[in-house]
Amino acid sequence: MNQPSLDVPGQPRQTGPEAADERARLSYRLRGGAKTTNRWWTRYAVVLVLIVMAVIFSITNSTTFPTVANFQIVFGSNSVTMLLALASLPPLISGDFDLSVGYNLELSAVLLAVLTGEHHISLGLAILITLGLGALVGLVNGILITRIGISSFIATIGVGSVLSGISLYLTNGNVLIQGIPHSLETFAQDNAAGVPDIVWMAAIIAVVFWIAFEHTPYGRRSLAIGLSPRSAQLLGMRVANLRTTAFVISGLMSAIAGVIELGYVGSVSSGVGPSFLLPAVAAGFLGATTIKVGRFNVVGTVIAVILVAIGVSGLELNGVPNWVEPVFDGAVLVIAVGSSRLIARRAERT
Amino acid sequence: MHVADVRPPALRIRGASMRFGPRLVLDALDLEVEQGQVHALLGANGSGKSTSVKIISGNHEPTSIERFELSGEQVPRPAGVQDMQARGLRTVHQELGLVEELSIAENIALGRHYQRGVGGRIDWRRTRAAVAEALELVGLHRAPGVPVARLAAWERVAVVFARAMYGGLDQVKLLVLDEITSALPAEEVARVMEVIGRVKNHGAGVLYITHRFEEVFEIADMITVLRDGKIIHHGETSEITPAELVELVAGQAIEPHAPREATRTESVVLSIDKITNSRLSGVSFAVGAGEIVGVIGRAGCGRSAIGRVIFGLESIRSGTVSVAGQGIPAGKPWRSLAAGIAYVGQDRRRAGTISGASTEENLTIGALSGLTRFGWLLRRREGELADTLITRCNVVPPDPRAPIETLSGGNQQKVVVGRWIPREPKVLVLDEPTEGVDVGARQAIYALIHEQAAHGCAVLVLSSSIEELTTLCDRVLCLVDGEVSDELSGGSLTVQAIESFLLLRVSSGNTSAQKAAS
Repeated sequence: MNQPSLDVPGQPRQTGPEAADERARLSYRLRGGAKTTNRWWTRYAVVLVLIVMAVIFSITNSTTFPTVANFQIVFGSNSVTMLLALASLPPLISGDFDLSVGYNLELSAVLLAVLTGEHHISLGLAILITLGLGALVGLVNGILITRIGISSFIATIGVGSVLSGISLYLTNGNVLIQGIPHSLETFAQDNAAGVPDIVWMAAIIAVVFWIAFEHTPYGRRSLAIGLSPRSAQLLGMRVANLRTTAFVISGLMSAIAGVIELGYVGSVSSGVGPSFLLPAVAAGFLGATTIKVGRFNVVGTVIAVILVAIGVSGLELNGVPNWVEPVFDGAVLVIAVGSSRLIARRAERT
Repeated sequence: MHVADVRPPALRIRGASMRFGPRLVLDALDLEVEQGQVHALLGANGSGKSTSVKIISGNHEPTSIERFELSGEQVPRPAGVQDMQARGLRTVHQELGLVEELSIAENIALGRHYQRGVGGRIDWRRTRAAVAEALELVGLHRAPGVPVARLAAWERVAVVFARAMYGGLDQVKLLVLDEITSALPAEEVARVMEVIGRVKNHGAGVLYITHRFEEVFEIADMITVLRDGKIIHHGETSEITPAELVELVAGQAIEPHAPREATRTESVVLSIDKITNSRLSGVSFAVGAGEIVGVIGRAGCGRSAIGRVIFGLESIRSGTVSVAGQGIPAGKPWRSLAAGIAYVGQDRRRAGTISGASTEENLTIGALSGLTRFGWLLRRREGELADTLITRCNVVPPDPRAPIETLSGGNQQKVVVGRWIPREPKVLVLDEPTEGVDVGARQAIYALIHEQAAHGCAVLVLSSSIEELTTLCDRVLCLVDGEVSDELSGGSLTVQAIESFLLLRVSSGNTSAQKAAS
């Protein structure tokens, strides 16, 4: 029945590196990540959607959509979202949520308006104080989470609520518009070489992030902490410090976004924070479905912000009412993350 | 009607094949497990064992299969996991799936069903009674209300068996035990073997998957060996010797390990001085350059704690750890790392590899600082390092892109050990380095350890495997209740010596009995 066969007692099979293998290794090294989740069509599906959408809008709205002026508006008005999306990214990479970024942005804008408008402090010093406070909020978040052990979800939502209360106190429910320095408004609303200053700024910061998080040992360690915190500890990493650092960067970036928001809009009132939170955090998750699939990554996050911005702008030009925007935001997020899950599950099976 | 004494086998499989893409993982498998018998299914990592288990448990639908019967009844296809359960199949994995905070009764009833009272609420009295009955079957004498967190490892396994039996023994036709002992210390395995014996006596068939051959000879009635998806041996346990079996599974004769040349030198690298904390009471010893020192002791003796203290993962009350004469502050892994200590922890699945990362990223994570120019991580140098390490550690598949989870346990362990090589550690501490690892990979890991010692590294091996310690180590320290009670080396370092230490020295001590009681 069952034959005790005399198989050749061979050596364990050696699948040596062949030419095709070598090529694959090289391409892997160019993009990073692990192979099953990085087939090209899954990596670039979001980019493809972006291009298709841009082409469609260019045809349907050929006089209004593909114009320099429109792109200046679309990119300019989304720079703050971009900055805040980048702000939420470091904690996501090292495995935490920062839901205080929106409130931090709001408080930073309010504080800067109060310092310059009511207390007549010089713009440079006021910005310095604002950024310092933003970073301090991040530090508090980090300490609550890594030293005391509160879940990042609860800690940052709690801290966020406190921040929103302080904003309300500072504004007393009014729109702050008096005495906001002209130089800040000029910077936030001007163009350089046909591109808004703040877009340049967001782009430069994105490049810095891309280098720091994807091309340095620091970035790789943050990633390892996000993927397997216990392994990271067994590798001798200073896990608590690195996680706290991520929150400090997040706080600082939120404050920068707040400063830019004040300059771009020219006024601020309490309550603007939450409207920035979802698009920012959502961009991080949407970004994780592209470029480096399954990982929070900088390029993906940038693409995600652009995708939503272009989509919303195109729809608005087509006369779609404004309630469509949040619906579009949410739907894109759920569909993209959902389909990447399904693809990953199918990849696991084969 | 069947004739009374011709009982159908608990499991009968004919011609089961499984193809993943171009790869034929399982080639016409025939397998029969009789009722009341333990049938061992053996094979190296990647031989098709796991695939067979997944087909039997209903997780995988085979590419083709001629017959698939449980207790004489044809299993309809495709058979899902629920379906197989309903037909009397119970699978137990190494991850037992118990909820620590809940009681034995809750853990058992959760997976199955609670006894219900008026209005559908849980009738705890009847649930407890049913649970107590199941516990009686597996011989675990514990109150159903005891939280699982308080149980010893073998007792947890017994709880999982009881969960499988809960609701009627006659419903259980086949019990599949998938490497349930691989994370257990040797002394607990014996208790698990007793429990399995009891289950088998109740008439269920048991399909037993393991890497530990001693267990096979202790408990199995039949043995089937797989290699590359084919059966290469099938027969009764009494027909084969351990050495023959090892050769069959490994695919080549494993040379008995050459006793190491004593490389002991005068220079002490690692020294531990009167370390005391909640689990250790004044441990002192030293490891010289190029020396491999083992530590053994019964469960709860503080073996793992030594490694965790040395790497700064556990705090201490008093004592010092020093490397090359330099004291190291306790409780700071990064300081230990900077002092030249490398540590390989016990729980590879949960705390060894970086899941979600590639083999390459796992191999280079410990040596990133050496791969940069002006802070920029050089992918090319990283790739070269990964290739070198893959070759040196013989990682299979030799593919840097492979997600680490897709590697077999043995190969993951090669990666976890190999990633320390580029750091050239002065001290290497390994906790159960070959737990759940097949014979071939074990040899590869031993070779890596020897290589490190040859380079002057002081190696400390914490293990519950007597065989591992006698083949690998120059000296073995015997630990009782957080204290070094004995040291074996040279001619006195034998399997018998360690065994008698474990049996006699430990059970006679009064302190250990008191601790066990508390």
